[in-house]
Amino acid sequence: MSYTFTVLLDRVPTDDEIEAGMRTPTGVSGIDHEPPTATMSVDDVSSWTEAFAEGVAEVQELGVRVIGFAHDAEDDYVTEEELAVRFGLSERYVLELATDVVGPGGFPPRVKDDDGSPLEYWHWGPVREWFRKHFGSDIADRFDHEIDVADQAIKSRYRS
Amino acid sequence: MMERSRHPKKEVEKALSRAEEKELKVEQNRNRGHKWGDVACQDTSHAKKSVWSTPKNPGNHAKDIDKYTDGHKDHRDED
Repeated sequence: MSYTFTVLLDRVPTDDEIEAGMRTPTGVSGIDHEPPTATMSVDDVSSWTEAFAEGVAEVQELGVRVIGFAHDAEDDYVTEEELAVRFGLSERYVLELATDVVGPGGFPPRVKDDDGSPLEYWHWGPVREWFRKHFGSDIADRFDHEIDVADQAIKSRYRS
Repeated sequence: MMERSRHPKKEVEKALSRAEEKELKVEQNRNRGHKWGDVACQDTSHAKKSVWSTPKNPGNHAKDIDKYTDGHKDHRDED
């Protein structure tokens, strides 16, 4: 299972820093500039706490500093695997919910390409709201809660 | 201009092809390293999206590229 999350950076690493410090293979899924952020994918761990620690350590090897954790935007893309990890469910069960094999139905549609064909992702916001409606806030908000706790922890580390 | 080679990870290659279909530019680095290349918006004032040679999770890296493509597909260089 892959734990994915976004960290806020003090700045964007340079290409030279990436060549010098990036792991092979890398858990950095993407780097954005405005604001400086890195999206991390951490495998082979069994909790968000471990994933956050591992992700922060890896990105800081690039010479930048993690200054916080960011919530996913409503229109950010999420995969079946990410939904399973974020809601504490199996990937198979998520797929069955998404295809109306089980559950109340009405799962949000996948993101569509310009020609109308579905991509392999959903938008985070509508799926989280669907889970809130049918599974309750405890499950729907568990990922955001993990992000809040990690964000507070890293900010308090820099304050002390 | 040198033509690019296929990215070794099929999920990433699919995302790069999709970017090209939307008229974004895929630039491959000549020097082989961690960074395979970039996807560039037609509006050159926008930051490029880095493409890695060896992502640990190619599906998530492809997703990140697809999100960039969707955010920049309708942009045109005003220069």
